[in-house]
Amino acid sequence: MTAYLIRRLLQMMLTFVGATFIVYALMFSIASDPLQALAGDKPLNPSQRAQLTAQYHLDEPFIKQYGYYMKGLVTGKFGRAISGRQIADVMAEAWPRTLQLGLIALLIAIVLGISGGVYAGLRRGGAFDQTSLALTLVVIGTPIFVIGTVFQSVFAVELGWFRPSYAPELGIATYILPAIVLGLLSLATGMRLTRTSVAENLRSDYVRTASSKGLTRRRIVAVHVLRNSLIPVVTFLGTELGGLMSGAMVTEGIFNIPGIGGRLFQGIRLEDGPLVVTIVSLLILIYLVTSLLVDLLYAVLDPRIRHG
Amino acid sequence: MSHLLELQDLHVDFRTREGVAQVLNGVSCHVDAGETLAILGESGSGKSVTAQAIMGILDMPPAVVRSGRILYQGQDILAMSENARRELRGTQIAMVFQDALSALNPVFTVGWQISEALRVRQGMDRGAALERAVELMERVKIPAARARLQDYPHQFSGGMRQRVMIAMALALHPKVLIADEPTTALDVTVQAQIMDLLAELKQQLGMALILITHDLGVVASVADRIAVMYAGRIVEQSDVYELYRRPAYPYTRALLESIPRLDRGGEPLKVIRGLPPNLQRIPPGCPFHPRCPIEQPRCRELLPPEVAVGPQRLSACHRAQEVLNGTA
Amino acid sequence: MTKSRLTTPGLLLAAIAVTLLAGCGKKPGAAAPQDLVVSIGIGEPKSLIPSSTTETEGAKVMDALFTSLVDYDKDMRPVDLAAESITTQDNKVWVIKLLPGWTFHNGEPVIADSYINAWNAGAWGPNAHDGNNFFVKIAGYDAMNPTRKGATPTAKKLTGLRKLDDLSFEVTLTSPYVNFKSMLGYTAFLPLPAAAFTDLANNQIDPAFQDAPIGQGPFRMQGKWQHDQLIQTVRYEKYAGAGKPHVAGVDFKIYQTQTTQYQDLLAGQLDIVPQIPLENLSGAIADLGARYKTSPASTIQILAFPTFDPRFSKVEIRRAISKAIDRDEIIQKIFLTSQAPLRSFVSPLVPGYRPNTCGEACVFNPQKARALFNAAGGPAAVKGRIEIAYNVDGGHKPWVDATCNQLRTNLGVECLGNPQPKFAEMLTKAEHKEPMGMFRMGWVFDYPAMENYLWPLYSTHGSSNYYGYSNPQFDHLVEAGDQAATPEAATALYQQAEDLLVRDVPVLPLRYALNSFGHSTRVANVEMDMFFRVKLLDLTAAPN
Ligand SMILES: Nc1ncnc2c1ncn2[C@@H]1O[C@H](COP(=O)(O)OP(=O)(O)OP(=O)(O)O)[C@@H](O)[C@H]1O
Ligand code: SF4
Ligand SMILES: [Mg+2]
Repeated sequence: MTAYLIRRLLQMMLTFVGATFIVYALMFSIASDPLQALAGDKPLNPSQRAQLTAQYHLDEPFIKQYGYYMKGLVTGKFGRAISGRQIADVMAEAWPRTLQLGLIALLIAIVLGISGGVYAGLRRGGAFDQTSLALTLVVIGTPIFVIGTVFQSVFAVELGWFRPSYAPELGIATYILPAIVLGLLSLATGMRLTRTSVAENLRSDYVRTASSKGLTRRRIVAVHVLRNSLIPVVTFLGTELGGLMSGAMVTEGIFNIPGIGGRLFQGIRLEDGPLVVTIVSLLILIYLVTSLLVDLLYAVLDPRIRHG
Repeated sequence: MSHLLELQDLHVDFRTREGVAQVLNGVSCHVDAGETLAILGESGSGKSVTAQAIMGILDMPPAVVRSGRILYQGQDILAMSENARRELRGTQIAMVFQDALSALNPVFTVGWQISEALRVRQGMDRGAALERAVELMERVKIPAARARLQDYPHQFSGGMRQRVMIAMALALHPKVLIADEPTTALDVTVQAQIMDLLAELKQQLGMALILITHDLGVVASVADRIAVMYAGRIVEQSDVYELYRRPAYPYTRALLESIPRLDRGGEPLKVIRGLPPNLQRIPPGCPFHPRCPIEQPRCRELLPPEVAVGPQRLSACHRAQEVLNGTA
Repeated sequence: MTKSRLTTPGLLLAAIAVTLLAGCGKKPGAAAPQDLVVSIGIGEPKSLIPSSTTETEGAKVMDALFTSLVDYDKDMRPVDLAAESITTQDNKVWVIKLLPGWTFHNGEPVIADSYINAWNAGAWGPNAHDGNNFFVKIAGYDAMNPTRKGATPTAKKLTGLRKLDDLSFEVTLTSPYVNFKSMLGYTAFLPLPAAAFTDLANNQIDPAFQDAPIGQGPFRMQGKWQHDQLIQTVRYEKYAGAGKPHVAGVDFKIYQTQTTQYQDLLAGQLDIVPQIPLENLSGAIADLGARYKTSPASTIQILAFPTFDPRFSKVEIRRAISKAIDRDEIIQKIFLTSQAPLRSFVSPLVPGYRPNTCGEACVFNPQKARALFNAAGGPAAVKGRIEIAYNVDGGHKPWVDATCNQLRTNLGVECLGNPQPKFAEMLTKAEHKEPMGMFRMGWVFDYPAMENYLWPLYSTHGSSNYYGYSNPQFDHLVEAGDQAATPEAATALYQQAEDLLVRDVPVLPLRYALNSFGHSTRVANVEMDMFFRVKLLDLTAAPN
């Protein structure tokens, strides 16, 4: 196990460095004139241009720029975004919000997805099963942007159950509507997966064995079936966290959550290499860490993997 | 006096989208304490369904018990509430399944699984239940039982896994143990060990044992009586010795002839011709007639009743007596 | 089989519903009129240092925190605001006298040095402030702004700024500039308190200053700039300006999109949406009724003909294209009430603007357009097709496509939109003279003067003349206007210059923007100025 962990961690580091390099190279190749992008439609005066070019090493070759960036990263100095703010400050403010949003979305997907899925799985072909299948198809077929806008109009503006935009004074509650929107796709997919998995496990031999021990159906479902059914679901939902982080971009925009999505969008618009690469690297890192955690969790849940 | 467990004219259908399969068509048999009944039959003949019907673990739907009774200690358990039936499971009637690998839950340790019933049904605390699990594992002769408590099913060999299954079934001291092809997945030497173990346990614990198999050779040494099933009916019942010596049903006879036997030397084995019947369209008359070498015109029209062909002997063949006498 | 008693999903839904209902529904109640805090939606400002605030979002906040030297009357002429007087003999040396009794929010008196220090810092090249260019006309600017990379400035202070006494100073320009007083209304010319500086001699502003800027305006900061979320201000009780705020404070709520601002307005969570986005416009007109308003804005939209593209070198072709565009139809179909047709080369907001200077060339007439086009060589003259380049991030596609449709129908020539990822990319292409067809441009003035359109857009060395129009006579007229003795004389010269554009049609005027804004029922007297700013001193609580 330890050897496995070390190997995974080394792999992660390599992936991480490689990914930052690729992202940096991509940003470098698309950047035409970050300073002009920053200035918008207005022209930039030459002295200001000279000043900023030197400050951000914009006229130096790619490898050198990447070198500066990595040096900063290693020494813990993320440097300044083109917009002038310390990248570290931006990250420290924005990440917790995106993480909260993503985790709440995940929580909603887990809780509702699994309970709904178990319910549907126990009553295959029932009303709940049929409706949830129909709704799932709708959710899968609708872009998150549309879902977000509709939910915002209906539940926040029309019904007034939520605020249409981020309201930090509400604490964690401010994330609920955006998280539902963000988590909806994972919820739907997770629910179908759970449903199938539960239905399949209900037919398995060990359920018969459990019944033959005289256990109640409740215990059989809650202990035997659930534990087995959750293995694929946990794997799926775990890897969803990375996806949710990227999906957060759209949701954050609609609900005005000042998270990483808005910063990334701005960074791309301003061709801000260091900012974008920092954000994307952290996204990659989260992705890598969650997939490691999922693998470990998988091993915890399924002893056949652990000993295999 | 009533039998410990008795099946009376049990009919079970499977109602699926494809149609209705008549899987059990009037099964009657019984077993008493200290006795071993072997149920023998080819694949699909309804052996497992019979066992599951007794245990009350049929998948319903699609299964439907159309008619019949299952008497345990004289009481019809089919008429009981689900809860009362559940109470019987494990404590009165327990079951050992065919494929221990899939019948054991892959994600729990064997210690946990053996002790589960003790904890849940008898309210034992964890430690005591595990202690008892060790005893049970020792009783089924799993070496280094204590050390293996925390192991998972996939870490055991096939034979050991089957022993775990047996230990689990014994946990609540059942009076009837149903073993559904407990050795099919195992190699020959291990098969014999498991059979010996079952026989020994039955002896020690005074249980009734229902041993389901499609392998005549395996049961010969263990069973007291044999019930042969074909297409959801018991076509012959007899004590082992008599059945081996003088089968009273053409199918049984064919089965016996298909077993390699030392005393028959180089004689070529006979194979039963034809295929098992489609249970959605069981042929009229004797269901075996399409395959029967001695079939007669009446066999195609009249369902042969079970008739006594000797003390403790039943056969459901129009020509039972002739078969028994070796004249057909 | 037993009925499962798993009611978990139901329980969870109930639990969530309860949490939600508990967390919501708290809408701001009605406050006493004087205690009303008004919330205004803005985008995240780029900077809150006056000389570095050149975009509209930051300008909205600066307007609350600071008061500029001049304001503009209804004819767009500058009038003194924080200044007692601004005088000049020759339009080259200006004397600015400050009103006494003004203080910064930290108690520091506002004195001549407050302006001199702020302007020096803004003009100091290494600070790279966005408003740096506004100081270019003041003597001594060049020495502070070497254009060669790596070169260090040879001076740290503008030689053109001289303190006369505590409340007055003198500004010397490199050459006479008639609009200088108008220019002083711009954000870049606001003062800074001594507290803003860490090192005055070296023009160093405390980096932390812009997180809680200290101004002399009607509102002061409450806490710090909460980036991407909120900038809170409260009434400054010692404000020395003539007008006084009628509300207790202004919360600038920061949004990523204007659509969300609009949703918040509908939900009663925001008081003023300064710019209602196009997609919500028809809804807003219906939803808000009298609370939906428009006001003139200085943005003009033009289509430019790059001179390096030989397809557009004939003026007849350019005229024909102009005549083939039905400006009114596009506005009706796409922009509703948010834009108006433009048939002159400057915005209607500047003194000296005359309607329809473009004349015949901007009148929609498909028959004449086709005839003119064919006479000039027809589709072959433009090599069979016209493109219109636009930046995709600005929502321009609908009107560009509509324009192309009109050209296709009315001129019988293939026309295609040519999407570019960003405006900057378009400019880079233009600089490298890569043909991309006509391209769109927008222009917003910094201060109301004709020159503020004429010079940057159409002069040979204009900072935003990316299409390469060059007419020495035009340049000369604008320069002469700048140096004219009186504003009236200047206007006459500027108008002569504009007339040359009518002849050459280097760009097509299309539309000018109207501010479309909306407000909640809690506030009244919501008006906007021509810099996209809410007139904060006019705001009052709505009468109950
Ligand atoms: N859940 C089910 N759904 C539909 N049909 C079933 C189901 N379970 C059993 N059957 C049918 O019932 C018949 C008898 O099956 P059963 O499992 O009792 O056979 P068996 O005698 O145990 O055979 P084997 O030796 O293969 O175990 C088969 O034809 C099978 O197709
Ligand atoms: S009844 Fe007829 S067909 Fe059936 S087994 Fe006997 S002889 Fe064969
Ligand atoms: Mg079977």
